[in-house]
This record gives sequence, C-alpha cells and structure tokens, in this order.
Amino acid sequence: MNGFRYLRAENLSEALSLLDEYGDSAALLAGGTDLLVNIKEEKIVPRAVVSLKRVRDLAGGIISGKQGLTIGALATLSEVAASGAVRERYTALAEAAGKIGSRQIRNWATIGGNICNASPAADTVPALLVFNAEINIVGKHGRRTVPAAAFFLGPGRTVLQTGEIVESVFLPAPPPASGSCYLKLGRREGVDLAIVGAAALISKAGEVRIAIGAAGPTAFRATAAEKLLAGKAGCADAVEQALAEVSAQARPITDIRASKEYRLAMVEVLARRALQTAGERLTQEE
Amino acid sequence: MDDNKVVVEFILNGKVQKVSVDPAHTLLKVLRDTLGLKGTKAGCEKGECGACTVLLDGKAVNSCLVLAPEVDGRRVVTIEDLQKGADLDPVQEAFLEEGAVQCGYCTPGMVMSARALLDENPDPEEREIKEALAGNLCRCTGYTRIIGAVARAARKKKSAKPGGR
Repeated sequence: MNGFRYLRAENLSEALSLLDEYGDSAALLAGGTDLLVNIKEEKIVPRAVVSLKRVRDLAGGIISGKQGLTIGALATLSEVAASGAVRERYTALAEAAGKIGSRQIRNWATIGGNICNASPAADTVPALLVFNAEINIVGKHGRRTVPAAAFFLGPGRTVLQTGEIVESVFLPAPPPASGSCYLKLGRREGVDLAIVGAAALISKAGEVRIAIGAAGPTAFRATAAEKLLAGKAGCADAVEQALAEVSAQARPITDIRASKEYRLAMVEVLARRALQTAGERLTQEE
Repeated sequence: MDDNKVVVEFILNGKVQKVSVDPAHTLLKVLRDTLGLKGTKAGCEKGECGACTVLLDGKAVNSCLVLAPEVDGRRVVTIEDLQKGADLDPVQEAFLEEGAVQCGYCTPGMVMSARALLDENPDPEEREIKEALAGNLCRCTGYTRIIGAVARAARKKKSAKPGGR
C-alpha cells in the first residue's frame, strides 16, 4: 500500500478537526475491511487515514429504548448479528449482518462502515430499509438525521459531506406483532457478495414492507408492491401482482457474479421467499 | 519516511511487544516481515482466503485487513502460541490425527479459526463448524477431514481434565 499518514482520533472532536484539516484527502477507518482492499487496489489513494476505532462517541454499542434501537457506528457485524435485541425485534438485520463475508470479516467490520461503503449489494441495507432506519450524522456544524432510504445516492456514494461522520443508526420500534426476514442469494455461503438480497416485514395489522439489494444502483423499497399487499399478504393474486411490481422497480446490472436477466428473475424468487418467511414468523409470534 | 512511523505496543502471544511500524503496513506484514513470525500465511491479502487468520482480543480476524497501528493496546495470538512446550493444542493434535492437512498452507488459518470457535463454543454442531470455517479456503482437502478434526478437538476438550487446555 502507498504511504499515508495514520492519525488516530481519540474522541469525536479530534476526529472532526482531523477531517477538517485533511478534507477529501482523508479516509475514515472503522473496521477497514473494505477500505484496506480499496487502498491496496489503489481505488483510493488517501493522504491520511483517520482511525475512528477509539472514538467512544461512536462506540455506543447496541441500546434498546422505548422508541427503538440505537446501534453505534462502530458496532461490529458480529455484535449486530449476535445481539438479542436485534435478533428478537429486528430479525432481518441480524440475518443480514450474519451473512456478510466471513466470521473474520464480521468480527472486525462495522455497521457504520458497511453503510458508508455504500455497496449496492451491502447486506445490512435492505434490512435497514424495511425497519425505516435513520442514519445519525455528525459534522463540525452539528448533527443531522437522514432516513436510510435517502442516504444512498449510488454505488459508493452517499449524502455524507466532506467532514461528516456517521455516528449511529436508529431503528424505530417495528410495528406491533410483526415478523421480518432477510435472504441472500450468493454463489456460495461464505465470503461472497449478494447476487440479490431481499428483506421483508409483515405485521399482524396488515402492513407489508419489502426491500431489495444488489438489483439497482442502490437498495430500494418496493413501494408499489407494498401498497398492493397492504392487508392482502395472504392473497395469492395480490402476491403475484406485487412481485411483478417488485421486479418492475429493479434495475440490475450484469457483472462477474450474475447476469441482469438472472438477477431480475431472482428478485422475484427472493422477494417471494422473504415474504413467506416473514409471514411465518408473524404467525409464530401469535 | 521514518518520521511517519508509528510505535505500536501490544500483547503478542502473551508478551508485551513494542514495535515501530510503517502505518501502511498490515498486521500480517508486521508479524511476518518485522517480527519473523512466519506461521501466519499470506494468501489473497483481501480477506477472502483466511490463511492469515489470527486472534485479536480473542476473536478471529484476517490480519491482512488489520492496519498494524490498530492493534496498539490489544492482544494478538498467532499460530506460534498454540503449542505449549512439547504439547500441541488439541486442535493441532486433532488435525494430525484426522489427516486434515495436505499442502498445509491454509492450516494455520484453519487452526486459528477453529481455536476461536472452540473458545467461544466448546461443543459446536457441524453447521456451526462450517460457519466458523467459511472464511478459510482449502484447495486440497475438500474440507471433510478439517471439519472432522474440529469436531474431534471439541470431543478432546470435553473429556480433558478441568484446568487442562
């Protein structure tokens, strides 16, 4: 790897002032499992790497409250996947975090990094979308909150401005009596990116949420399908119509992992199965 | 470039280690090239093969994806620390007994992943063994004997006397 200055921020204000000083030439390091590969491949040539791993304000862990769940940006994917609160109420997110890379990757990679890397195939993102997650951002001029649905602009691109850091992710309480699920299709179980990822949530009151990853420049909520399915998740005709709407919203590409035609076909399959499993989990809750 | 070096102090295999590193070097490079611990293997160097697996604060990580300065103040255990005197670690013994080694290049990483699994979960199901080893590639064995070796190591530990390793 090319030479760069390594700067370890001990707290948030230090991190922000280092970012202020280095601007776009600084790369933020949390787990670094994506960043280091990008630096090795010279996709990024930073002048400085600002390590955030010691910044306590970002290491808030996973905190369950009345309003919902807050996950500190530095929570590792292993921590997210193993958290009782996440597994119980935000099952799709636990499943998504647990399917990333390998044990070694999940032990070091963070949820903040997974989000900021903004891969269209990032497994946590469809799950965050079905829970209406909010991304808490801090910068030298203060804090702001952006819905996960508005955070991603395209492959590798987010609304983060130079000098801003993702501080935490907030997941509002899911609808009462609901079930969720995340399914990932890869070429193999471990160490692979999703060909397609699908998250679904169904509530007893009839609300349905569906999000798809790796089938467009960003993961997306299948809003037209959700409307068709509201209160009708058990109706076979409505499900068929809705799945057609999910596919209509997908904009997959062909790459080394799969063709766009295959991805498009699999969007429907994965969405169907995710809906089914989320529905079964809802039934189990009763 | 010397002014750009970072002094890192960490616990390596139970002993305090202080070393001056180029911040662009990974833990893998420092272990092998600076500290001469060649048991940890360099494979893909992109976090895909697991040959470089070490324990960082007790958890398996890819040392090729850990920037060396990041281990400051942390605990690192490499394959060199598993054998205690003449006694192999039960995981190492089990690999020998099951014939789970062919070319051997992936073995240190496999053993470290297995060690991390058994430290966390002394009695894993086969599914859990497979999941824990999913980040370690072996191109020779087809994995059957490796999975068998981890299960055997788990049985050894269960029958071992309390206080033994």
